[in-house]
Amino acid sequence: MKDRLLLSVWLVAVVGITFIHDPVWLGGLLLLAFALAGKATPALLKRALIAIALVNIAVSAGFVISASLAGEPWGLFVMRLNLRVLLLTFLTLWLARHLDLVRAVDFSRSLQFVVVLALGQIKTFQRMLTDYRMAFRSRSLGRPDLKTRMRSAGRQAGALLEKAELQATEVNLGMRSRGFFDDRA
Amino acid sequence: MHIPDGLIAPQVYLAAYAAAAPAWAWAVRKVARDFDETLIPRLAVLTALAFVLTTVMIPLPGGTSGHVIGVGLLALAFGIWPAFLAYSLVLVLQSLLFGAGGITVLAVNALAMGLAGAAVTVGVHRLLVGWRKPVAVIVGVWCGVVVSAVLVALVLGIQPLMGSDASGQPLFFPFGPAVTLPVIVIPHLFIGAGEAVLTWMVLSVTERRRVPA
Amino acid sequence: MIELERVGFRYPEGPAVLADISFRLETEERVVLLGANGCGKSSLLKLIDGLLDPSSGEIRYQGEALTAKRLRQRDFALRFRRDVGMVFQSPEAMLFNATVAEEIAYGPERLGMPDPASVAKLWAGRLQLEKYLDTPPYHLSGGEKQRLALACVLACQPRLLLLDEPTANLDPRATGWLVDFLLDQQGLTTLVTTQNLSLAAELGQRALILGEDGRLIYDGPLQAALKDTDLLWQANLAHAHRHRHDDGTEHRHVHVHQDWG
Repeated sequence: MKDRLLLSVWLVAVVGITFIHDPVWLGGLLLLAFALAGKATPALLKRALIAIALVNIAVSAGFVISASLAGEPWGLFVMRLNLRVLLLTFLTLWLARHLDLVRAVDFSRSLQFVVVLALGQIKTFQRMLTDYRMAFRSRSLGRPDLKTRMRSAGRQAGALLEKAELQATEVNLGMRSRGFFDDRA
Repeated sequence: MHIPDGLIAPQVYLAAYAAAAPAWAWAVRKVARDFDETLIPRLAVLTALAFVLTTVMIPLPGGTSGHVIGVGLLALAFGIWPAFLAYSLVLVLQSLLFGAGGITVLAVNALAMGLAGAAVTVGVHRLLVGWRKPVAVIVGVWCGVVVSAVLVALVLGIQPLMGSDASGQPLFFPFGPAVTLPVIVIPHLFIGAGEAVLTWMVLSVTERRRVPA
Repeated sequence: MIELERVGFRYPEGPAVLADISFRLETEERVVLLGANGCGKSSLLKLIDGLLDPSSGEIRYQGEALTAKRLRQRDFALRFRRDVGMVFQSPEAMLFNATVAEEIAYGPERLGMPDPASVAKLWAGRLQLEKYLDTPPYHLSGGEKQRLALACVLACQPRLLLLDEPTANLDPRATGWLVDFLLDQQGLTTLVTTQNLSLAAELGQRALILGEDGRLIYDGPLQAALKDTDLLWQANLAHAHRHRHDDGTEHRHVHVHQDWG
């Protein structure tokens, strides 16, 4: 219940923020978000800045240049854009820290099962991918050429696909063995 | 092509959600019918696959690399609707678990990459598969990636029309299609080529060259 | 309890995995299923658990034919799934609930057992998982997942327990714990697959040995099987390699290593 509420409130906040265009308001909300995050603010802020840096710097710089060349103002836009994007990204990162997604989707048992299973399988696949990458590095004498890197990437993706087929079958049998599908028959 | 939150106007992203909702509902119905009782485990594994595929790096010339999108591979291996659904779930997980990728733009990304990308890939593949299978896969995936990029570029490009403030400065993303199209689409011509070749390499080895109904 | 009569199995478009398998499992028997990699041990367990359909022959559960059609009947399915529990070699294939507590409670809840939450706590305690009750299963280590899968199955109070390579993910200490734990369970029939022969000796009195062609090549006392080097060699459960002596000489003979992996 708490997680569903948290998710709902966050969604409303995010949508609401996209209707706000005054940088003063956006700045104020950002400070409120920092207060909400408390001690986690520096870490979250750093992550948020890294996440948005490339796009925001490119868009801001591009606009500053084009507006300057056209003799048009750009200050409000740059402030608005960056404050809004930073605020939204910061709030989303904060949510990711506090939200138990599995609990948040418990309004649908099926969806919850999908999420739980997916999270478990993601770990399995990630472990496998890490092994493949390490093995490739371990076997690479010098910097591999493009063709070799492509072959390695192809093998990684292929292995993931094959593993997914096997896992889907195995998980299906595992759930069946516990009577999961009997109730749904 | 991850667009952060805050660049797209609510009129656009809410409309995208309104468009995506029936598409998701249809996808759930279709996938539930095709997967029958195995829907939950298969969808979960497919979602996990789609998620981890996006972490595979496609090597590009010049020593750079780009992230695999994976929708083309999923669509050719499993079908349009499972690919769309799995990719949408991936976007949800990326946003809510890792704070990576905007929630407001989720529907735009899902429709552009997950649905349009998958549909174009499968459609082009169907047109060409009778001629040459490798060409069908490569051209299909490339078209899927490029069309997705075009759609995202267009969505961004219409933001200047969504309003400006009293001083005439834009409220959201400030550049029109004349900028967004070349900036976004041109790199994806190359990323798409890399992904297309990679997809062919995978499918030719795993012998999953079928295109499901 | 379970009877297999001339059961054969092959995966679609694949070669035969099992052929002409016949045996019975009686109440409270401790049986070990031995065989080399790829000989069909896991497939056989899945057949007994009603997860796969035999390509030929018949499997009977308490005298009734175990078929896909029969398992679609809810009452039968519920009864069968309560009585027969399987722990997969990769236990994560069986785990799909949000927390350890919910995972263990899942079976008892479905079976209509009173107070599934307490049952879950009880079995979590027995399998040393009590501190993980609120933890998502996918956060557990391999060995912990194995114990969790075991708890999930045992919480339903099965009469037949099928264990597929239960020590594959376990370190020696955890293996020892599992052996003791299984021996302590009363009123349970167990069928355990393993390649570890010295461990096998601790897990059962009767052995079923599958040959590499998927046929049953032995059904009898376990101790006798473990002493029959020819049989073990035939089943690829024994090997020969050069033994080097301190004086520099070498010899080879067929043998098995009598220590736990």
